[in-house]
Amino acid sequence: MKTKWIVPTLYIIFLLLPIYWLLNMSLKNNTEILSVFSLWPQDLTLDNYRVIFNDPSWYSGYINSMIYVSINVVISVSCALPAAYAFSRYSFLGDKHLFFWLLSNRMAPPAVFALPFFQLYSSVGLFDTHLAVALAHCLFNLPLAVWILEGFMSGIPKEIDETAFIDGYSFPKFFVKIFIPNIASGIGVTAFFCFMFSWVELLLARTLTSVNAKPISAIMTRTVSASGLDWGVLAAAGMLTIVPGALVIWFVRNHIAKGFALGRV
Amino acid sequence: MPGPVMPDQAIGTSMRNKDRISAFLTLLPSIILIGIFVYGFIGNTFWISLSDWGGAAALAENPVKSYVGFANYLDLFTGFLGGGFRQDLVNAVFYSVMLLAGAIGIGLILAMLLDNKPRGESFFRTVFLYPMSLSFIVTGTIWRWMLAPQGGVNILPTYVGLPPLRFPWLSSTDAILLFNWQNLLPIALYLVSLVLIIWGLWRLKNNPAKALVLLIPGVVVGGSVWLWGDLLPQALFMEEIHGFNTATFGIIMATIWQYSGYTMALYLAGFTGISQDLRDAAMLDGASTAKYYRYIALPMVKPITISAIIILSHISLKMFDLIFAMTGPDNGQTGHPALNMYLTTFRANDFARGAAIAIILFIIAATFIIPYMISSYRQRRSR
Repeated sequence: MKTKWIVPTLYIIFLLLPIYWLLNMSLKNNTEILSVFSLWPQDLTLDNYRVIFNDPSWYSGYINSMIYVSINVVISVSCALPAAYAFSRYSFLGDKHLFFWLLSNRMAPPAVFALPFFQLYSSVGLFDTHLAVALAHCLFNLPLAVWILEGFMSGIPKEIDETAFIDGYSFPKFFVKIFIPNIASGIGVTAFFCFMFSWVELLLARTLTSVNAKPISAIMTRTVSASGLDWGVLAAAGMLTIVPGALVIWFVRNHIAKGFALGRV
Repeated sequence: MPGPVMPDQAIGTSMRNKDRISAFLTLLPSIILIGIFVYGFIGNTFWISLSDWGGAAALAENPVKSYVGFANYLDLFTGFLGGGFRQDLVNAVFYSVMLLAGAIGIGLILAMLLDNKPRGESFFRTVFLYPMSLSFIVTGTIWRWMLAPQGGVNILPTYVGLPPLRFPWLSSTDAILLFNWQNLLPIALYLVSLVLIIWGLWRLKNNPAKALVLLIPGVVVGGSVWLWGDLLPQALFMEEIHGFNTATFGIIMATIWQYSGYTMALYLAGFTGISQDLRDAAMLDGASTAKYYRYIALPMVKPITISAIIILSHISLKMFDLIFAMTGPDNGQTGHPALNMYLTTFRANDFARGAAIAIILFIIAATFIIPYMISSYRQRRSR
């Protein structure tokens, strides 16, 4: 029985070690990072974090990322709700194929869309705005959101709709007052996945922004390509990008299990 | 916007028609948007890839674009300057295969070990999902440091008294599994015949007639290439050696690190979904644990395997950020078509060529996804 736990435990160490390493690095100064190898900081310093919070070229990246990710989550979820409702409640000719086709769009590599988006946004003046990135990310988040939400909605019996209509609810009132609270966990999981895919995407975010909406991940690559790496600040920036994701995972951790059980995540 | 469904219309037997209209109205915006954006954009990229937009005047107010047919594609595959792209393509193939094998293998083994132990399951799932929420740039930064020549993984053996490793994880220029790009056609045909033969042998037990349909062409293709392979045209006018660069090991490790937790969570959910009665019945009939997984659990989670393959291959095809962060954009050894596309388009301003690379990536992605779509279409129909 004991041996069964060894492998998962080792695996957890394997998973957490790099993250610990990053934390460790973010609390050291550059000389220590580059000279000696130590398992914990000899000379604990918060300077790296201070640099990020004081330098607008760093912290603006976080703000930009946050803004376009939030816009993206709002657009994806609110556009996906009616579509997912249609797929889960109405039966019409070819609904299954349409549903599947919608999902398959998500699989197209972003590289195909980079150049057209660039051209389009440049010509309509959306280039280097938060909305530009948020809309571009809808391309892969919207189908995903429909897919996850449809799974959760199909778990709600249709009788609930019918009872509500008999009780005299109008459709919008029913949808907001009864239906949405019923699938709240589904909305949470959807928002999490939209958040995550938008947060980690780089190719489109980097191509479609230059200064005003530059995301934190692009700023981190800029530092990578500069001569001489500021490892400590880079590690601190990395730690800070983990925080939002970790918080969101923590909030939806119990709902995710349900999403996995539905096979929709 | 939700369709105009009135309460009295949603009830009753005549709702089919109304359903159809409201469904159509609710879905129309999504379909139009996807139609314009996805297909319009793919079409646009394809059109650009057939032109000669690029070079010095690429950023002019009204750039001159003339139709050149498939010249860009031909140049990428057989041209003198396409060598970097060809190496990237080879990298991407090895990369996808190793990522699929690694992430699915590790995820499956861990899920089996944790299966049937619901206590702490949600804890494990949460911990295992954390790496997934990291951006690839962060993963790249961590692993770049972990794989540095004098640090991280290389000095791990010193903790148990062994000499440190000397493997240059990210800067190695060695390559294994070398082949000459000139022989691309024979190699591709050998692979086709190998797949046909293996598939045929696998089918032999259940469906001998169908197996022969696969086996005979497989043997014929393989044999004829072996006999007359010299007659096939060479894909390139000069010798060009490509192989699996050992420098990509580090990148593959980092990706597996990030995604094996996800596959584990997928499989664990699948295994938990199988009823305990079924397992008990199998055990009563004398099945060992290994047999239970081989003959009952794995076939039952086949849809999960397929969706894991789709998701991971999709990820490996758009791998751009991780390589950018780990080895930098200009390391030819660890290149990737997505990265090459970015550099060709937005750094070299060679728009047509970049578009051609993007379309090639798209076609590769489609070859992964179309079989999946066909198989689930069949499943739906047979239901």
